[in-house]
Formats: sequence, C-alpha cells, structure tokens
Amino acid sequence: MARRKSRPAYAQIEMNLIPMIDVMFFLLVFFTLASRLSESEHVDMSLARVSAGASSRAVEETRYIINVLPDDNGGALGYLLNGTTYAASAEGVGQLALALADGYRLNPTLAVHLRADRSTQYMWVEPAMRAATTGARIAGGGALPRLNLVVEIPSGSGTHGS
Amino acid sequence: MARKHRANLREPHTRMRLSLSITAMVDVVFMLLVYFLLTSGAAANERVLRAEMPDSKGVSSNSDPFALETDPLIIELTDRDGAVYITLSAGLAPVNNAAQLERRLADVLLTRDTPRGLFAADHPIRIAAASDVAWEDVVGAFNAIIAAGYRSVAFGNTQP
Repeated sequence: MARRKSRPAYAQIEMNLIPMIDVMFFLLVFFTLASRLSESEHVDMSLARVSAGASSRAVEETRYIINVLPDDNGGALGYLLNGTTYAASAEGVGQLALALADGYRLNPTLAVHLRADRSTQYMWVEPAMRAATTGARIAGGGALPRLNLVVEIPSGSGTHGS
Repeated sequence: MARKHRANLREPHTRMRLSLSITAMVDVVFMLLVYFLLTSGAAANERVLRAEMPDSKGVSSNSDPFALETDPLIIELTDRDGAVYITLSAGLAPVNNAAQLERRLADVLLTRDTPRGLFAADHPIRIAAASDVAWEDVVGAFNAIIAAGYRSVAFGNTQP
C-alpha cells in the first residue's frame, strides 16, 4: 500500500508594516529630542586646551552643564543652563544660582560642568563658578559644590585621573 | 485529547516555516550606530578638571580643630600684552607659563623623597586671576598645580 506523500503546508506570512512604522517614528522622535538636548548642553565653542595633566574623562553622573556663551573680544553673552539663558549681569548670575539651588535640592551630590571658551576673560567665567557655590549654599542640606571644568586635550595625549 | 493535540503538533505537515526579514532591523541598527558614532565623536577630546570650590566663607573647610591657620599660597595671573604673567607668594620667583609653574611648584612640594620642600600636597593654594586674563590661562594654571601634586586648589575672585 503506497503511502501518500503529504506536502508540507507553508504558512503565508505577511509583513505588517505598522509596527515598523511605529518604531521608525519613535526613533525619529528620539533623535530629534536627543539632538536638541545635545545642542542645549554643548554649545559650539573652543574649549581651553590643556596638556595631559590632571584631566580625566567625565564619569556618568547627574550633572548640570553651564555654558558661558562667548562673545567677541573675550566677553560673554550670558550663561546657558538647561536650555535657559541667563544674562551676564548680577541679576542673571543670581537667577543662575537659584536654578542651580533647585538642582542641588533634588540631588545634593550634583556635579556642575562648566564650559567656557578659551578666550573668554576670567571676569565672565568666575561669576558662574560663584553661582555654583551660592546655589549649593542656598540649597543647604549638605549640598557640596562639585565643579568640573570642561577642557580639551590635544589628540593623542594620554591622561591620568586627578 | 491533549496527547492527540501534541501529536498533531509534531506532525511535519503542521510545522510553519517562519522567515524573518532582517533588512528593517539592519536599517535601524545602522542608524543607531551612525548616530552614536557621530555624537560620541563630537566630544572625543573633551575632559574635565575637578575643581574644589570654597565654602560660603570663601575658604576651604577644615575639620581638624587643632589645625593652625595656614596662609594659602597665592598664585596671581596677570595679562601683559596678551601673554600671561604668573607671580607666586612666599617669595617664589615668577614664571611665564603653565609648564614653568608646574616645575616650580613640583620643586617645592614636600614629600618623603623631598623633605626640603616648602608645601605639603594639601597646602591650600588660591588662584587669583586678573579680570582680563583668558580662561585658557586660568585653566592651564589650575591644571599645572594639580599636575605638580597639590590637592587643595581654589579660585579667588577676580582681581582688578
């Protein structure tokens, strides 16, 4: 008795495009937000160059980034923090300190990264450093002003931690 | 009945051949790869210098009640025709750049190997920069001090 050879039944699979479109839109939104966030934190400027010395790579931690917006002739247009620009004046520095105090209240071990152009005069950078100290003092609760100066090292230079 | 069902599942003619198209996944993975390459490359040469901030009284806190008040070593930075000029307190000779500052401070660092040094590694040092000194010179001085082996460095207010 000859057995009838049965042919395997193949399931017809249709590619459903809707989940893929969903994923692509999510990616689009992600990239848009991430690039805007990156722009607000990293203003294009020429950072101070230092020889390989005490600098180290930034560790992953909760941080605020203050950008001292450079102006011509070593001046500053203002201070950028979390997408808000504070004026380079006594009032603006005070508001910057209050914004930092809010951050210190949320996280007493907050690290503040300071980015400034290499040609910016010290008189415009020092208020931002002072704002970090003032903000920690306003926040209270044992908040420690931890300031990290963002610098640039020449390509190929080795570093050791501080 | 359950046994029959399991037997049916094992039958070759009921198996489904699934073919997964990985083209879309490869597209997405490449896009992620390109994105992270671009964003990480932008900050490849960025490093940070950890700075000690003075407390509300303007001096570093000292928890040792028996410690004597120590005069900080003041390092003054002034701008002279676009070039930085660095003077040091405690009778140390002035220098013209960060590399010279690092050597000068390393020479006076008190360690077990150099017992004739003037300052211990935790001796407070204050950078007092004039208001018109470029930020790069200030950071360079700070980097030199840390590289020379000192740990307690603070920034002073701007000097007129």
